[in-house]
Amino acid sequence: MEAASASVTTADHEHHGPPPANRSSRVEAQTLGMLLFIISEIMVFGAFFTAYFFIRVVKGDHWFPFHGDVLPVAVAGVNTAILLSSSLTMHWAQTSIKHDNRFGLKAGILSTFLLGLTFLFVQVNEYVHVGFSPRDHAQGTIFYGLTGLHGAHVFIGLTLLAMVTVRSFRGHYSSKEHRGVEVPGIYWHFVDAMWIIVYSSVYVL
Amino acid sequence: MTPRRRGSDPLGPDGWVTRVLKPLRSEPDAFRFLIYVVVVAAVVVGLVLVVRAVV
Repeated sequence: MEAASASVTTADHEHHGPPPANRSSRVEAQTLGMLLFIISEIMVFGAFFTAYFFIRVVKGDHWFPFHGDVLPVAVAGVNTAILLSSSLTMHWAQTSIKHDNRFGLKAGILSTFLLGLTFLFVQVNEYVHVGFSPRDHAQGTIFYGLTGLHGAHVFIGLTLLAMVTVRSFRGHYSSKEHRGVEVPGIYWHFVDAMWIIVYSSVYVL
Repeated sequence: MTPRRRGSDPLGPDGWVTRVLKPLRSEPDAFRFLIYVVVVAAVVVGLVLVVRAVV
């Protein structure tokens, strides 16, 4: 009896700070945060796509080529392949760390970062050479709005990937603790999936 | 209050594994979802281009 009360007293003395926060969800806090963030981002993209569909479906206006302005479909197609490859390397990195393969993690995450950076560079280069500005016509506004919104998401993803890359090279993450790779990976795949929809609707259709 | 179901049986009544894709919860599911998006987008684009060529 005395031993039991002594152990309780010791446990009470070992705990510092406020009591642990109540968890009402079965999903881990980090994953839940990313889940809610991505849901809100889908709504933001939805607002931009509403403007796109209003122009093309409701008003029935012409899409590109428009007033002599042409979209570089082939260049954007190559850029799409680059972005899809980056998802493949991201998946490789995640699978590698699950099996404690540190080389696979580092090579995969670095490749993902570099491919994402290449995508963004080509996108900026496309803006420089496309030949029209957002204020020239509504089509231009929507083109820059949708692709620019996506580009901003790629930039956020690259910031996350840069942190994961640095941490990977510093020896962080293991097969037991790799949430730091998984959560940015979910975000990166979301950004890629969103690009597929943007590319299909804006450039191809 | 109804108690929350913790671990549901992944096997359906016919014995097949009925696993729901959760792309916002795990990276492999998100990757699989991306592949589905690519396939669906390719089918939609292909259909629209064929219809445009025919009409």
